[in-house]
Amino acid sequence: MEVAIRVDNIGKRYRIGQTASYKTLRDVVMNTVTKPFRPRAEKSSDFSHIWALRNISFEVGRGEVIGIIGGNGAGKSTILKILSRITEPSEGQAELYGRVSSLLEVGVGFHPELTGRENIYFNGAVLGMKRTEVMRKFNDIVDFSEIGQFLDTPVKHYSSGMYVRLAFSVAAHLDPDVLIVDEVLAVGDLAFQKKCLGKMNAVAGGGRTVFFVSHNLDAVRALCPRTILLNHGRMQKDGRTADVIDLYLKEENLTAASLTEPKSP
Amino acid sequence: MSASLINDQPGLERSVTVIRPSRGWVSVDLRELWQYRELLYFLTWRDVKVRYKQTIIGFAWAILQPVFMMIVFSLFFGILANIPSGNVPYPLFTYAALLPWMLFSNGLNRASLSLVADANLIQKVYFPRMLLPISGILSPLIDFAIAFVVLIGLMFYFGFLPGFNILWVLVFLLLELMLAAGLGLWLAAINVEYRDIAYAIPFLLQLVLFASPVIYSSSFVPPRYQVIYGLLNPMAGIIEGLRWAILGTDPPGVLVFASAGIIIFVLISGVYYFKRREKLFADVV
Repeated sequence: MEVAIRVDNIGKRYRIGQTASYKTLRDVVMNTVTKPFRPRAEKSSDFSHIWALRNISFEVGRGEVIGIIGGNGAGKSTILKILSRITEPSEGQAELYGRVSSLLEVGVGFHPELTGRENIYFNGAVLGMKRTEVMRKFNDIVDFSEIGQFLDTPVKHYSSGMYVRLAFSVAAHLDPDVLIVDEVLAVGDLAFQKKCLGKMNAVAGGGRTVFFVSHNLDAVRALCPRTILLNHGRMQKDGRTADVIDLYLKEENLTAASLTEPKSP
Repeated sequence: MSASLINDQPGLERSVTVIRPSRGWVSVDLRELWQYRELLYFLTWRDVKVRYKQTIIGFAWAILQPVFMMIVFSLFFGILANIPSGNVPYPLFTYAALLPWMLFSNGLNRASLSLVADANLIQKVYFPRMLLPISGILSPLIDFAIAFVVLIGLMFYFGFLPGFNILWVLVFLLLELMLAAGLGLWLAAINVEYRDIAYAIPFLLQLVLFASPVIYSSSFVPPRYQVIYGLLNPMAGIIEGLRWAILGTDPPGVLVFASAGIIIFVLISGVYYFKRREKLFADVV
């Protein structure tokens, strides 16, 4: 098997409080000044860490379509961000072979004041397409998006459906070897969602590797033969989609049951 | 983030991206910056496109702002305060300095706020983050070019024909962009964590305007302080150098070298500070 993605013992540690809020210089000064007067326990908690993700290792073969599922806080977004090179891991290593595109949100960088045409070019560049490539695919992108006559209207006048269709069309015409996708399918009306799913299937069928993160279990079932279940930052199961989803649902039900169960005294 | 793209050509198979934690000093990947040159172009292009959207007079703003400042300065400092401007008419004297000043202050302002303004891009797509402040520096060049046409008009009107020294304009502009980039990288990186920068900049820029030889000549500063002046305010060397290149005023001498030295220092330190902080941007911004 030719490997497309190799993830080796990846972990990501966040410092609690680090992401909390905007700091101003005043806060830093105040913290430094008041630190000696605070109780010891509080002081040490300033430096506590949590592992959002730990000991994650797996390999994805070329042309394989793999799903990642898990509850909230399982670490799905973190692994996405690491593989997309948006945030760096605290430990471990990952290798991605071939041209990589990641799609964490449709229409990243869309500017409301720019027209549809202008946004196609800008968004294409943001997603890593060359200008000549966008020019070559321009007509396909416009056709797929069904926005034709509004091409030269600023997108701030678009309906949200049109906006999303245009954004997805640009993304759908990326031509990567490895595609990393977040829940971008949960957009647009039902008909367009079907169309997107079809496009995704075509992408997957075309020998490309797809790394698909989703809450939508039906979409995962439809697209991915293999799935990884994350739970509190650890890999809980890696296997056939049907088995993994069964396990996930069983656990969800258990949690749900324990929540609704009346507490015994 | 330490990631290397061995090749990015769609035709050539098996390029590999390696992702691992970075340690210590991070080097600047010039090859990668070059690969992303189209994105830099589009970021700058978007900035220019969007700037005067929904205005009535559009790019005329690029002319109105410096021209009105020139009129006000000429009235108050040229006529009322009677500040000497050598053998150059005061309006021309101050306008030739206002243009590089506005290029600098607009560029620095945009660059400093660029990472926060495009926080969404930073959190959703990978690209060398440095492109954002750099595009902020480059986009005001359009306004500069437009306002420069007025400068040429003024020169004809007052009968100032430039000599060969005009070619030095390019050197001084390059120095100015380097200074703005160096400071912009510093401030943009700091502003991700401390939003104080956003409040401090407009106010600091105003102070520096009055500390720069825009309304007066740098010869106001006694000769023995020229080096210190050039070190403390690198814009002084640039503005006097441009005035010399365009209008043939006295050559600024040692002031320019002091400024050029500090500019190189600011640029290199800015690049390294930015690279060191870069990996935190997506988590903090």
